[in-house]
Amino acid sequence: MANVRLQGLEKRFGETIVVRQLDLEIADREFLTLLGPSGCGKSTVLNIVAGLEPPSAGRVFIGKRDVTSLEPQERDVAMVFQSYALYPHKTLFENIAFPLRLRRVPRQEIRDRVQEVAARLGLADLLDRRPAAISGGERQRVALGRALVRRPALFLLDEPLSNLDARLRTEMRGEIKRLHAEFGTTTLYVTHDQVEAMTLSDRVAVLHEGVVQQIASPDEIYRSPANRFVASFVGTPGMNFLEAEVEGGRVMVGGLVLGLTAPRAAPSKVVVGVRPEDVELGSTSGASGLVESVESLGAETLTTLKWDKGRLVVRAAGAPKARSGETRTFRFKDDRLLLFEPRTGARLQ
Amino acid sequence: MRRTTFLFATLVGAFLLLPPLWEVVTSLKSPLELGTLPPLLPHPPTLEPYRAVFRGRPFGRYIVNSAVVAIATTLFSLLLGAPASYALTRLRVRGGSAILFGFLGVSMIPAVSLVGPLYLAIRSLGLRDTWWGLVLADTVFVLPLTVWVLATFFRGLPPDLERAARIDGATALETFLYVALPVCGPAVAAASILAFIFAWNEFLFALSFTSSQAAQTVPVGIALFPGLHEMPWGEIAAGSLIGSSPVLLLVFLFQRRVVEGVTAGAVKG
Repeated sequence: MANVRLQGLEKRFGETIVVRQLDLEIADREFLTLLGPSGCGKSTVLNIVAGLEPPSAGRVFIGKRDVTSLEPQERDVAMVFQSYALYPHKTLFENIAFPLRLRRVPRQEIRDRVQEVAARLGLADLLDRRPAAISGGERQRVALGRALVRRPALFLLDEPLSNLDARLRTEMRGEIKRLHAEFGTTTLYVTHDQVEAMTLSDRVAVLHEGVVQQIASPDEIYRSPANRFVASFVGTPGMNFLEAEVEGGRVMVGGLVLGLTAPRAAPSKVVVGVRPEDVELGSTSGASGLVESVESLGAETLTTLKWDKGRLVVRAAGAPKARSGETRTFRFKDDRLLLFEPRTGARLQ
Repeated sequence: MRRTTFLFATLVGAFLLLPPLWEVVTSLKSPLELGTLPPLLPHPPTLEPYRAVFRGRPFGRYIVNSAVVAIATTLFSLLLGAPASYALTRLRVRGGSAILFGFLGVSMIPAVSLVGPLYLAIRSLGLRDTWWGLVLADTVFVLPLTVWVLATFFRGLPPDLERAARIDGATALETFLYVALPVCGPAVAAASILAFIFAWNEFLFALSFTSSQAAQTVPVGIALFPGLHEMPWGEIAAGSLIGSSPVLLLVFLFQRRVVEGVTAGAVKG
């Protein structure tokens, strides 16, 4: 068990800066996720923490130790790869036992620990098989088992679920959450999937172009994004953005005055962000738009409205209440609206 | 289209198989039949040439010499070639690819042009007419081949496997021994077979660096079959077939191992 501290981490490949001045602290037993689109530098950060790549600048601390110049095997970290990276010539038993064998753990203890982990992951009957003879979900479990058997100070997971189909992914997500609750190992998880980030993490760090945009709890990331990038990256369907004018503290989209006050420092033009569930259809007051499409997802319905100020996606519980071609009135939940600086994308409240 | 392919394959096959078939036929003929045609096929077939091969000459000893030299050459070329190949392809060795191409370049030098200097070297090492002299010369010649065959496979090794091994606590050497080498098992088998075949068939060095049955190999032995006044075609054919059989056996036994990959399931395909 240990906390992790990244200090002024930077990674350059020639002219390209992949990670820029990154400071991050992961508390002991915390589950922290690096979330970002592909190419945002999140896997690079993970590799630097693992010791697979040296940073161009900055330091990595695990517990009280400065591990920046240590080899991976000296860092007491375990990692699960997106490709699973199982050893194809070894049985599942030997795959899981490999880290222990390299540490010269006594034979009997290896057997006990591998069997314990295998039983925990439901692999007990498969230990004689080779990776080629088991399913994708089982391979994923073996990869987790190989990491768990070590009882490392830090767990690193690099997009571990992205090779699984949707149903299995949900299942393994639950499994990872249970394992973390059970073992309490400090975990750094990398994903581009916001659902994984939101459901698994204690805190999420959103990364964009090598820069941390926000580090906060999943709830805070969703409700109070630090900037337009975070707001648009998190949430499906994405947040609606509308251009608005500020006049004497009042925020107006076209002629419609919104029920919130702009901060004093706000420029005359701002961007209003509104989540699909924060738009209500069929109110008597407010504006109206043309229903462009209606998608029923079962438990909820997505309605796309064409308004003369832009397009709006509306999320509402239950069955569809409108048909395409109809004109519908709508209203914003004013206390949920977010204001952004139009050029930098920074939050204004 | 298919019929044309079939016809073409048959023609090529016949062209390739005719000489060995002719050799088989020759090895089954009695000395009297050798010079006459017809009959095309031996009539009756006789195993006499096979017996004659071992009569009055140390053919068994030639086989032992060949086996020792070929096996030792194979072992040494793997022992030296596999780590070299792995290091040059997977570890960050400065000028790694230049060194690899250096190997390739060296292997282009015709053996004949090296026989002289090699002879002097082997003689001054006191290895003339010994197994080790031949093993040394053959290993030097096989090594580039071994390195290149293995390099092709090592290059295709998924990087995540090595990264996983490092995280699991393996040193570079342990990664090589416990992960890279076993995963590239088919390549190792292929490289061994190629090295073995080369050393087993090698004639020039074996002829130049030996002078007695202490180290003479099967090809040299067969070359010594012709007497002053006779050319024992039947025995030459029989000896050649006996000499070729280990190589044929190896190829048949291991061809599947050489072709099939064991990397399936390592990473998501």
